[in-house]
Amino acid sequence: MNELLTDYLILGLATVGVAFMLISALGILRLPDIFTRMHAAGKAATLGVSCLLLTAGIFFGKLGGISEFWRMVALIALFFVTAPVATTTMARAAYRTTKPEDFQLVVDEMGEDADGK
Amino acid sequence: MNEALFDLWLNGLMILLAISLLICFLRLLRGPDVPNRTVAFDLIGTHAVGIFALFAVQHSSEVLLEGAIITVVLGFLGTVMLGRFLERGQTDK
Repeated sequence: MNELLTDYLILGLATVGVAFMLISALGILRLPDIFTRMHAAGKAATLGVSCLLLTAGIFFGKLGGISEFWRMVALIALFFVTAPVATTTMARAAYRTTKPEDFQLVVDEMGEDADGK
Repeated sequence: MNEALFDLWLNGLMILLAISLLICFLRLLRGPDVPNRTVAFDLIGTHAVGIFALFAVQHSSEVLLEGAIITVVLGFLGTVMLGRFLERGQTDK
């Protein structure tokens, strides 16, 4: 690939990644309750860190061999597998340990299930 | 591309990412209860991976990427463990 184009691609991806990380940090500071904060931490941060890892993959793929690039792609896949599991576990724990007045819910399907049975 | 401009740009991104990490620590400090702090800690782990990646690009040392991989796995295990621990404490009461 063209040398200059690769450099621009690296810088562009890194900028997008850092922007999304900043958005997720602002979200975790400003949003009102635990579930909305989890929403910021789970989605925006995953996208941001994927962009940053792809940056490293392209940079080292250009520098050394293609194997570094594929390793970073595998790491992104690992992120996409583990992040939903961690967030779901934390969401359930937060739902069960916090008082219902502390968060704002439009629908409460888990509470309805618990009441119905 | 100009080498100096490339380095300058990466330095600016690094500063922004550090500010972002500082904001996460603010939530870790202020968070009213343990679940909030755990979410902040998860986000701090994600930021650490991003900083690892950018630092590796800045200094062109691929060895740091191993650190990124380990940080991903440990952050995931820590978050899941804290979640399970919170639920266990609740059901025992």
